[in-house]
Parts: sequence; structure tokens; C-alpha cells
Amino acid sequence: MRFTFSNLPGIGWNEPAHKIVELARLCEDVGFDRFAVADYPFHLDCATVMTACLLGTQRIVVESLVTDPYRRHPSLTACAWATMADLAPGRVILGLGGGVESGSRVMIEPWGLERPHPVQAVREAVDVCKAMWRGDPVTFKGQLVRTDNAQLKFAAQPDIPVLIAARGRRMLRLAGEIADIVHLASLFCNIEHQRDNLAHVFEGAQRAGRAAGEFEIDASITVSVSHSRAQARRLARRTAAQTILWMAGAETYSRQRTDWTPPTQLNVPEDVIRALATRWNMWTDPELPDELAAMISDDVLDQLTVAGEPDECVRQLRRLADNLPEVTGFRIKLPPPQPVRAAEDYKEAILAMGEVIQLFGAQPALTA
Amino acid sequence: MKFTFGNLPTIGWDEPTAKLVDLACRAEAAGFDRFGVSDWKFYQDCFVVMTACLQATSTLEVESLVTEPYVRNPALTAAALATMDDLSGGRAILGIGAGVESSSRVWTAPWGHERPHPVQAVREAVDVSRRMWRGEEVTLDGTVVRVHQARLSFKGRPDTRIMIAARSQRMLQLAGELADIVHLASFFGNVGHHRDNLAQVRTGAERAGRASGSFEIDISLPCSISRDRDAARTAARRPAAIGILWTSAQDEYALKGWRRPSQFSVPPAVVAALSGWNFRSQPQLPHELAQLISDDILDEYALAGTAEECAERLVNIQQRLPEVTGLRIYAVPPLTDGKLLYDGYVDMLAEMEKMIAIVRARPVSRP
Repeated sequence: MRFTFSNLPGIGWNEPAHKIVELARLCEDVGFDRFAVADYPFHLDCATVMTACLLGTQRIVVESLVTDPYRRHPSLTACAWATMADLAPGRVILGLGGGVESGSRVMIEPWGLERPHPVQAVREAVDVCKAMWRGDPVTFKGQLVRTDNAQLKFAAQPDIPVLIAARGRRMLRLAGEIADIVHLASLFCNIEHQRDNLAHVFEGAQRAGRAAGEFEIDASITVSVSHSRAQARRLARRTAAQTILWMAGAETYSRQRTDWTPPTQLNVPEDVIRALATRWNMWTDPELPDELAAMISDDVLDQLTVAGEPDECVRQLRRLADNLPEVTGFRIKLPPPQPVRAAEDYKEAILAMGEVIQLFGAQPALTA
Repeated sequence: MKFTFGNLPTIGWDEPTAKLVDLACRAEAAGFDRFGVSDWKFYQDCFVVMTACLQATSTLEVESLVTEPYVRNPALTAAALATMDDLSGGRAILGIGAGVESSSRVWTAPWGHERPHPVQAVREAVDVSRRMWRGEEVTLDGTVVRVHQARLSFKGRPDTRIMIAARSQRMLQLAGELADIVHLASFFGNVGHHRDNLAQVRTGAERAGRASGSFEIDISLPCSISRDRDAARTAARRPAAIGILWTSAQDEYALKGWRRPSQFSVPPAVVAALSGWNFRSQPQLPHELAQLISDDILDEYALAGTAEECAERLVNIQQRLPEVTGLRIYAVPPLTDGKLLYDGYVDMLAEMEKMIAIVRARPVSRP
């Protein structure tokens, strides 16, 4: 099982960029396999932070989680990721998604603030990147992406892994069809829901003649771990609230998705969803107000997060791993700490997560 | 005098990115103040290389030399530069030009391969960057640049420096008006020509009420230095030929409305012969063309020879152009005996170190 740390920089992070590099180093030390850098527009630049993290570490793989095919021209994305891979061979992943659920969008011609045909856009961007990494001159007139004789002027690593983050059915199928790493972006850790997602992934894989096991599958899970159980579960509530809004299609950008149907397994009272949707802006408020946090019961919290002391988290992760044997990695979303001491809180959480990784590795899988 | 090492990656550079970073470290050790990273499309990515160079060095300033406002969204460029600045403690410089003289243009909506209104585009990009670095939320529906509610989610440094590279009169004026560092991008080293350019810069500065001395001025010169004087002067003929083609507007991407400087004195037969050479696709200048460039012509377009004689020439330039505060060296190493480009740069950096030391030891009076 591969463990990925995410997701900095994020809401509430207002520390210097070099502190992210320090955290990447700590993640490497405690046993994470990968370090994911977010690409929120106008936050610390993703490629810049990735480069700094690569140069500040020795072993850990660094990925974008995720960039999109609109705001940076895919031929330049290909070039930037190839440059990083040249600096740190074998340690770079291009993580892509549709970019449709971002809180701040960049005005990009010709779409303005719209992001049309995200599945097609990701497909075309991946095509362009892979062809350029092979050294091909790429002239391409797609529905969204257009390039004219784009050819790298340096030798690139041709097999830079591409991760596709997917929640919608069509994106899950696309990921199964073309991604080196399928990223199940839903934070809803219900096993049946993830099985539904995997069914779409394998449908896409089948379409492309790919066998299960030919590509990796990461599941995205909120893990809030602390030696203080109360603290872990308190912090987990913000991410749980965010996940509820996404899953229920009740968040600003989810509401605009025509392809989203809330999973049948989601069991959150309507009044909780309504309260979260109307009384909290997850994109701008780093903290979940106490009265809303109190509405999230322990049962609801356990549907959406892994939260507790290290032993407890290991048990829950092991249960997920045993029930989802196709999953090859966990992307760990740590709840955002208090902004005033973000880096210090992250350090504590990473150290605790290091214990979880060690304990998890020491436990035999039921399905081995 | 501030010394900037430019222009990697470039035509002929096919070494790993790590060697480029290594050269930045060596440039720092050799006494360079700045390291310019080019933004030629589909070469190693400018911002990734800049970040790597900043991470590997401790005092060297690193600049884009130069990026442009069309393909890279200016609001994202502002965020990237602010991130580099944050990582490096203020050592990143946003060098920007219009990108109209690049042969590998990225097809970008809505302009395709065109790059309309370059001066306005640079003005708008600078405006967006500075406002974002001040922490403002920026919405701009400009002639070229469109930005909607762009606000940095972290603290930028309001005085992150901007360098504007300029050759045309209007861009020179804009640079004088706005830039922290005016970069005279012409390779034509004729003092009278530079004075004409400086007059344009002054016009722009006066328009903005800026006093001379309140901003830096860099000149750009190809430079080949070696203990083997002949080898250095041979190597310098290629960039000199490029300078001749640019200055005479014989390059296929020559600036619109470019007028040949009155000081230009290269014989028409030489210009005509050189214009049959495509410097963007042919790394070598054919020997028969190189021979057409006399020593006098070469000295107008390049700094070439031993460290000592190049230093003397630089001191002379400093005395005659006291407004100039920096030199961007377009380094062209002699590659004798099949030497690789990287090794050539390493050798030449040792000679440049000597040259810089000599120049710095000679006090120059400023106006």
C-alpha cells in the first residue's frame, strides 16, 4: 500500500513556502511514499512548490493533486513536468483533474471562467503530454486543447506517470482507460460506494483492453490521527463537512455538475446537509463553526473519515484495504489545522501518521 | 556594475537540467550577481529551472530572461514569481518581454500564433503582477490581459522586481516608465545606438516622473572569453551574426516597424549573405559566413577575447555609458576539440570570474 500525503497549500495555509518543503522532508522521514502539492489558483504555485520539494528531498515522489488542462497550456504542463522529472528522475507524477470544483477560477481564453467538457479536456491534455514526453512533435486540434508542432527540445522521461483524479462516472471511466494512477477522489469511505466507483474504473479499463493490476488505484481518505482521540475527531469534522457537501451535491461547484448523483449509501440527515450548505462556505472559511460541527454525529463522521488514535486508524484503514483489495494506495487528506500554527500542527499530524504507516505495514493483509 | 549570466536553456543545450543548475552555482561562485533563465518554449521550463537554481544557490538572484504575457496567464505568473520570491528570500526577478521574436510560439487562444499589442500586453501584465503582490484583488479587462478576481492566497512581496526587456522605441519607453530594471535587449553594442536607446528610456521615465538613477539599466552583450583569444573570437561570430540580423531586421521574426539604427554599418553584402542562414534551426554559423564578419564588426556585436581585454572594453563602456548599471552576458563558450557545451561554460566561467574581478577593481564615476 502506498501512502500519499496531501494537500498543501490549502485553505488556511499562510506560512512560507519553505515550510511545505520541510513537511515534505518529514513525510519522507516517517514513511510516506508520495507528497502531493495542490494547485489552487493564486495560492503558492504548484510547479514551483513541487520543484522545491523534489530538491529538498531524496526519495519521496512528488505529484500535483491536481492541476487541470485549462489554465496552463498542456504543452507547457508537459514541458514543466518533464523538467521536474529530469531534475528528479522517477519521482514526479502529473496529477490531473477537470478543475471544475475549484473555489477560484482563472480567467482563461476562450472559456472565461467556464470549464467545458472536462473529461474530454483531461483526455486531450494527457494525449498531448504523453506524446511530447515520447519526443513526438505534436500538432493537435482537439475539442479543447490545441497545439501546433509542439516538441520538447530536450530528452524527457517518456513514462512520467499520469494520475487522474475522478469523482464523476465519466471521469472514473476515463481514468480506468488511460491513467497510470486512478485517483478515487471521493472522500466518502463507504466500501460499497467505492465498489461502485471501481466498477466504472474497470469499465473504462476494459474499453481500453487494460487488465486490473496494470495500473494503480489510490483512494482518497480523510485521516485525522492523534494520541488524543477527542482532538482527532474534532479536527476531522471540518473535512467531514466538506465531504458531505461534495457527496450531497450541495456545494457551490458540485451544484453546477449535471453528472453528479449523490451516492445511495450516503446517510446524512437532510437538516445537517442544509445547515452546512447554507451556513458555511468551505472555500473561504478555514474553520467549521462549532454549532455545525456538533451536528455531525459520530456515526456520520465514521462514514466520511478515519479519525482517532493511531491503533484505531490502523484498524479502519486495514478494514478498507481488506475490503477493497484493488486499491493500491491511500491518499491521506489530513484535516487542515488551525491557521495560526498550521506547520506545527501538520508536523504533529505527520508524526502520528508515521506511526499509522508503520503499524499498518506490520499487519498482514487478510487478502494477501 | 551588476553581472547577469544569461541565456540558458537555448539552442544547442541538450544537457540535463541539473547541469544548468550546476552552472548557476558556478556563476554565483564566479561573482555573478544574477542568473537569467530563458523562457524558450519547449525547452526546460523557465519557472521550474528558476526554482531549482534559487534552491541551489544562496546569494544569486535569478530572473526570467524573459517570459511573456500571452501563453502564461499573468495572474498565474505573478503567483509563481511570488512563490519563488518567498522560497528564496527575495531573490526572484520577473523578467518580461513581449515574446514576439520567438520561433516556437505556442498556439494560444484567442491569438493563435499572433502576439498583438505587445507593449500594451507587457504593461497590463506588469500592472496585474504588482497589484497582486500588493495583496489586491485584481480584475482587469485589458486589451490583451483578462483577469478576474485574482488575489494571492498568501503574502506576496510588493516590491518584487520587474525587468522589462526592450528593443523597440515604444517598449524602451515603457521600460523607462515601469521597470525596476530596464534591459536594453539589443545586441548592437555601439555606444551611439545605446545612447539613442537610453534617450527613449528617459522619455518613458520622465512621463512617469521617475528620476534617472531610481531604476537599474542593463545592457546585453554576447560574450566569449578564453585564454585562447582566437577561439573566443571565432565562437563570438555566431551571436554577432544574430545581432546583425536582428539589428538589420533581416530575421523572420523581426519587430514590426523596426528601423535600422543610423549607426549600423555592416556592409549590405554581409547582411545579405547572413540572411540566408537560419540561426533558429542551425546551431553552427557556417565557416564561410563567419569569415565575412570582420574584427571591427565583431567588436560592435560581442565582447570577445581574453579576460583582460574584455575587462578593458567593459570599463570603457562603463565610462562612456555611465547610466548603465549592469551587463547581461549572453555567454558563448568556444568549443574546441569537441568540447561539450556544459564543459565550455564551466571553462568560460573561470575566465569570466577574472574579468568581473578586474572590472570591479576599477572605480567608475557615475553621473
